[in-house]
Amino acid sequence: RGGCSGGGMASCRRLSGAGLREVLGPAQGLLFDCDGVLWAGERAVPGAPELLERLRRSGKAALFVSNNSRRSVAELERRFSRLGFRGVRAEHVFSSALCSALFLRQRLLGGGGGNGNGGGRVFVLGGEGLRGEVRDAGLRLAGEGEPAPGAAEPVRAVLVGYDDQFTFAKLAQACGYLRDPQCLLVATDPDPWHPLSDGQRTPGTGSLTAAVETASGRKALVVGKPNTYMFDCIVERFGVDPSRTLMVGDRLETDILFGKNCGLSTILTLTGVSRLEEAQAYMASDSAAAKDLVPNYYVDSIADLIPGLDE
Amino acid sequence: AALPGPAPADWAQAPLDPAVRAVLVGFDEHFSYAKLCQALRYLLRGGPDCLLVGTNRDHRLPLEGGAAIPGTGCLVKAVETAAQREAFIVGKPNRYMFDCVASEFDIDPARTIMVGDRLDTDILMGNSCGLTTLLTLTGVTTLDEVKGHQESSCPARQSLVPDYYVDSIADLLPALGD
Repeated sequence: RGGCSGGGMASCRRLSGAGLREVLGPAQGLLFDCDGVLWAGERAVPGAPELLERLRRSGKAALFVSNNSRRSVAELERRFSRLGFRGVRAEHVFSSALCSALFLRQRLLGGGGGNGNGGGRVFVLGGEGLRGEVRDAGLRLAGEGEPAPGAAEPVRAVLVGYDDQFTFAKLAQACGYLRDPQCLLVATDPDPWHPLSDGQRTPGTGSLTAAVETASGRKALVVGKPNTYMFDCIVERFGVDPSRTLMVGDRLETDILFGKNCGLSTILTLTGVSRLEEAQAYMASDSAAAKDLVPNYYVDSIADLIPGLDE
Repeated sequence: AALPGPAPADWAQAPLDPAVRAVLVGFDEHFSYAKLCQALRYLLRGGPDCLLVGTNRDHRLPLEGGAAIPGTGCLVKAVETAAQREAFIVGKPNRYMFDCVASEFDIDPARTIMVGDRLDTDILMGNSCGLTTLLTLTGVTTLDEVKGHQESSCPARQSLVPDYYVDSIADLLPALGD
C-alpha cells in the first residue's frame, strides 16, 4: 500500500527499498521536527542537509514545525544555515514561539479589535526569543516584578514557555494575573524535558506549566504539538494537503501524535528521543490512546529517505 | 554549591554530590529552573535508588483579601513532570503523618476527632484513617462546597464530606466541662 492516508491503526513499518519510493513518491511535502531529527545540539544529523537538498530538487516542499520556544524564527533561520542546511527561510519555520504569538494576536487583537485598549498586555515566562516573537506580533509585554495588578494596562494573558530563569516570584506574579478569569493561560508546548548532548535531560515547558496550572487552578491552552494549532498556521500560510504530506519526528508523544491529529502519515526517526521499543510497546498496548502514538513508518535517520527520491 | 555558568548546559556539568539519595521538595520561595535542573539530574542518576519525596500537595497558601501564593504542590508537580515519576507525599491527605502520631501516642481512631478547615487534606485524611471528622468554617472551605460534594454521586467526592462542622472551634467550648 502506498499513499499518505492517515487513517486506521499505524503499523510502525521500517521504510526502505520499494516501500520508501511508494511512500515518498506521491508526497507533495514533508513536515520536519527539528531537534533530534535534523540536528542534535550543534551537530547536523549526517545526511540531513543532503536530504533537504534532494527534496528541493524533487520539487517537494519541506516545512519545519518545532516545539522549541527558545528561539525566534529569525534565529532559527541562521541556525539552519550555520549547521549546513541551504535555502531554509524563516517563513518555512513554525516554532511554538511564533505560533504562540500568532495565537495570542488572534485572541487578544483579532476579530473586532478587542475593547479599544490595544488588547492588553502579555506576561511571558520565557527568554528573549519568545518575548521577541510576542512583540513582533504587535503585543505588549508586562514587566517582571511589577506592582499589584490594576496599576497599569491589564494583563490579558500569561504565556508559559521554556524559561531557564523561572523563579517562585515569577510563578507568584503569574498567579496574581490569573485571578482574573478573563486572563488567558497559554503554554508554548507540553514537553516535560529535553535531551542534552551528553545524555542528560533539562526540564521542559511542561514542567513549568504544571506549576502554574497547580497554583492557579486553571488548565493551560497548549499551542504546540501534539495539538493541531501549529498545523493550522502552516495551512493558512502554505495551504498544504494533509493527505499528500508526511510528518517526520523523533518524539512519539508530540510529533507522531501531532501527525495523527492532523491527518498526516507519520515517520519516526530514531536519531532523537523515542526508542523503537517504545513505539512497539504502544502498538502492543490495549489502550486506544496508545495506538495513536504508533508511527506509520520508521527510519534510523532521515538520511535513509534519500534513496526514495528521484536522482 | 555555586553553578559553573549562566546557562542550563553549564548547570548540567556541575559536579553532583555522590552521597545524595533523595530529592525532597518542600515550600521554597527561592525555587528556580536551576534547582529544578539539579533535582532532575539527581533523580535520573539515581533512578529508583533516589527517592522523590514531597512534603505536601497544597496548591496555594491563602493570604488576606482573597490573594494567595503558590503552594508546595506546584513545585512538586514541576519536579514530577520533568522527571516523569510520582513523588511520595508525606503530608495530608496521605496517612503517613497520622501513622507517625499513632505510633507515638496510643490513639484509638474510633475515639479521635480530626479538626480541620480543608476538605481535600484534613477531612480526607481523617476519613481515610477512620477518625471522626470535624470541619471548621474559619478557613478555606464554605458550607456550599461541602453540600456540593454531599450531593455528588462520585465516591471520591463523598470522602471529602466531614461528619460534623462548626463555625469556629470556639463553638466546642460549651461542650467541655469546667
